[in-house]
Amino acid sequence: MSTPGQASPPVLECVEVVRQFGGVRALAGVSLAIAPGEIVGLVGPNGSGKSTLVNVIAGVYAPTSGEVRLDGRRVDRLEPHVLSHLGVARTHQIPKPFASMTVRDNVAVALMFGRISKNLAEARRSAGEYLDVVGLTAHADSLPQEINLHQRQLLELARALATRPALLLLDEVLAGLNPAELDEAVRVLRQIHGGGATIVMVEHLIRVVTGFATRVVVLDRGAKLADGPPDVVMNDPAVVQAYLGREHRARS
Amino acid sequence: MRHGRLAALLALAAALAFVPNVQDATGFPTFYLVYSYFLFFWIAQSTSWNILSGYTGYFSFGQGAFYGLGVYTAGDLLTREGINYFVTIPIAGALGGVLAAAVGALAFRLGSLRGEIFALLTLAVTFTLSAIAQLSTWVDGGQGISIAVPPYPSFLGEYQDLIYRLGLAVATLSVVVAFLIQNSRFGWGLFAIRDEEDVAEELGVPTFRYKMLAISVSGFLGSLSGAVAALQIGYLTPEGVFNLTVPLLVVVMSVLGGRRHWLGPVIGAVVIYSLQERLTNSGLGDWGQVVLGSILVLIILFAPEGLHERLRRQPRRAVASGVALVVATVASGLAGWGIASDWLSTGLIAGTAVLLVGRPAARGSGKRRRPLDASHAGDAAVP
Repeated sequence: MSTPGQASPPVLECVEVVRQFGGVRALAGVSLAIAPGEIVGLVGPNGSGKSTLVNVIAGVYAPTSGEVRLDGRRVDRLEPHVLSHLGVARTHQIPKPFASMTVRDNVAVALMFGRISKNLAEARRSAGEYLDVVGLTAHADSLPQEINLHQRQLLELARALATRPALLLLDEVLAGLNPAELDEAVRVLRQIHGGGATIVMVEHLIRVVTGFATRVVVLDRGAKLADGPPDVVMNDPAVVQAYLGREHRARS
Repeated sequence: MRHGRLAALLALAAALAFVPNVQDATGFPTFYLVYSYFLFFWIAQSTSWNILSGYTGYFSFGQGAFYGLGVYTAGDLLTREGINYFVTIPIAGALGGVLAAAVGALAFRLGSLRGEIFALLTLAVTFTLSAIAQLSTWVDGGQGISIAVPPYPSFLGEYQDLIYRLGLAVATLSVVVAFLIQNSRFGWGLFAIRDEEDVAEELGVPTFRYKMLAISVSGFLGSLSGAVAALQIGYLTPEGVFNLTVPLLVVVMSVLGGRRHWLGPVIGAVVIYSLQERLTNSGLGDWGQVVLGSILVLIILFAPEGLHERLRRQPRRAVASGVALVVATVASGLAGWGIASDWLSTGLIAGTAVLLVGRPAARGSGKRRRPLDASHAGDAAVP
């Protein structure tokens, strides 16, 4: 299932992943291999299973059947905090900061409980680096309620980065941003990618990821509909037909 | 800084341990030792509650279960099995920890047991223990248990001196544990759980293990304090031990004092117990429940952050509160209103009122807001 020309073994491998919620099949056997350094845009309409797949990879849900492997190791029965220590980090579509802690301490918690655990003083020192990356240094001593939504999304990102992930799962991190904020967010993401992380970004709109992702995976009703370079996927008749149709025409 | 505060705490406890000797020398009424014992008792119980419910946010109505288990473990083992009282104390603590771990294993495995369901479950545990005490002749069986004065080393002084010192020891242990947890990695993990549990887990906090540890420590301290309380109570009955006084009062105390800091439950315990004593001494004891209930409602509505947070965030108001406390204490003393403990209670009530009346700083007038918020943010970084 790997992209042609790819030499290194996959960071992440999903094999026939199925996840049922009662009678609803949110994921109906998804297989996916992601190589180090890829930026994968995971797109699809509402209810296509994007968020469920992210939750399965992050260990929040166990798959009903199928396997998830990280660097070849089976991880689909591990708890999220173990997966975090193995190098998986994720952000939430709706930011969920620790409300009683300052912006700096939000990041410090991630550092204290990271792969190499730090004490509070060390964690607070290092937190500054990650706030720098996302441009929140000026707000380090603010409480989350005192910063705006975009800044809270950046805080999500800083916190995820502070776990030093090998695989970063971004859940609609670009949603609801104005053009200036979008440029800023993309700059931050490029910098993160330059630092060596493999990125999977969930987006509702395919247009948002085409300029940034190296590969696009389209999900539809819990199954993989298309997988390949953005320009190829964008022009895939099945994708245009099933998902992009209306929107793509409307925008071009 | 942290070591300094810890040393100050221990020095204060050590000094308080000599109060009975001062009593021997000066002959002030034994009543004050009893009064102090109850302060220690409530400090220990509300601190125990707060380590679980304040730090992790899992609101428990089950403090009575840990407390009652401790009371009956010490009472039964001492009077029925003839076991050395000083051995029954750690046994009671250990059993409290085990009971708590069992409740935790049930509640925390099922992720859906958050919020009010957790509170109800812990309350149900209290009622179950009460029923067992009522029915089992091995525990009580309904006739009640008279606690005989256990043998103890003579250097511990009179019987009331012994109870005072044991109460002080358990309260000190509880507060020191709460202090150490708050300043540790474990404590930060608990705060992260309180704020956003799922995120905490995803960032690497082993949430299940941490919650288990928190509830076990809470159960251990609650039962330890119960084992000491058995001596003070003297005559145990299931209704007297497993009623709602302890589970409700620890909530009122911790919420009033503030749940986010180890000092919160200490402040709350001192204020609420003093208030209750003042009401009783004024012949208004029956109104106590009404007053406490009203206080709880008012705090939750108007000052959910608690007294400690207000003292820290509003230095000017803290000073005013201190002045009110001293003035009211001295004034009621000069007026000869009751005895010395009543004067202090009046002072505490006045000081608390000054802290609670009016709006908190965060919602205050525009100009002052920024610097106060900023200083608070800085403080929050150094609890």
